[in-house]
Amino acid sequence: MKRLISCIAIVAATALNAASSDLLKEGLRQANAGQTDQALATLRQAASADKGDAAAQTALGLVALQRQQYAEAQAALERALSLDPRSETALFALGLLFEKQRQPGAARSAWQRLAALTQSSDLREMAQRHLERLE
Amino acid sequence: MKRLALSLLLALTSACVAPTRVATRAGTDFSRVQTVLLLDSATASRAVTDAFARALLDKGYRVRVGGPDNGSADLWMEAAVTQFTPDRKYLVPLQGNGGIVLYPVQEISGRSLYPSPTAASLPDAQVVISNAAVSLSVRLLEPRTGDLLWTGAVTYEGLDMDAAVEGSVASLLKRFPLKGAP
Repeated sequence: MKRLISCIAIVAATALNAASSDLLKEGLRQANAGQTDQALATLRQAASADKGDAAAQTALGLVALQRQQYAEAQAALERALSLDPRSETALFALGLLFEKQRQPGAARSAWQRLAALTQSSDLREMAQRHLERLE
Repeated sequence: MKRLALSLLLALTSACVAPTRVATRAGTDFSRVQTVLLLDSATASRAVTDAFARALLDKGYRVRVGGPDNGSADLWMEAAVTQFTPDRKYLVPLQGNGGIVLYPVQEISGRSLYPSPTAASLPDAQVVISNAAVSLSVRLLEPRTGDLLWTGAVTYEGLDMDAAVEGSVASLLKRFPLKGAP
């Protein structure tokens, strides 16, 4: 019985992942076509269908940023970062978002993490320039 | 569990990512400056000159705005926007199912987003990040001689133009030689 339940759970999780992946692709296609309103709705579904998918959370956060839904963007990007602590995309976007929201402490934290993490010298310089300004 | 990691590699020119650059003429004494003339500039937006005017007023300086004249100010200030990118876009390529993706985010220019030569070379590329950038250059000049006393330049990114302008001005003010009117 336990094995059956485990199998059902695995199948269900796989189906959810597949659904989330399809929704993610569709949401990104819409965002790419400039249909950010529809993209936001689709990516909300993708992020909700698989809460463990850092990509879906990141995509939701970035499109929410484009729609100036800053609270939703912050929440999604922070979820993405908790799922994938090495997400430079999430750190980069959060750094910009916190500066826009005049939260220098939080912005500094994002840029510091990005500067420490990235292998890109260009990106590190960018992060350091933002840190210099926020000192 | 599917893991899909995204990372950034910004395809920026070195000029775009260079830190704030400043230079000061040796021996210049800025402590006696009380009035600053912000020169009208065709290459600086009103938002930029207003931001500097606010900063100077906050520091206690008298601020005038206009064309070059004789004797009305202790110092002339000239600001120029050397690059203005209101809508910088980044590609975030995503792999299909499974696997860890370490493709970079790559900057693309213009508004023709997809398909584009850049995007076409990256399967499943998606555009989801945009922001703004401002490159700013400022000069402080001796009014009588036109001697260059100080110059600074910076490029700064923001979520939108307002944030980019605010950030670029604030970055230069960090290195500004005028600390407050006597």
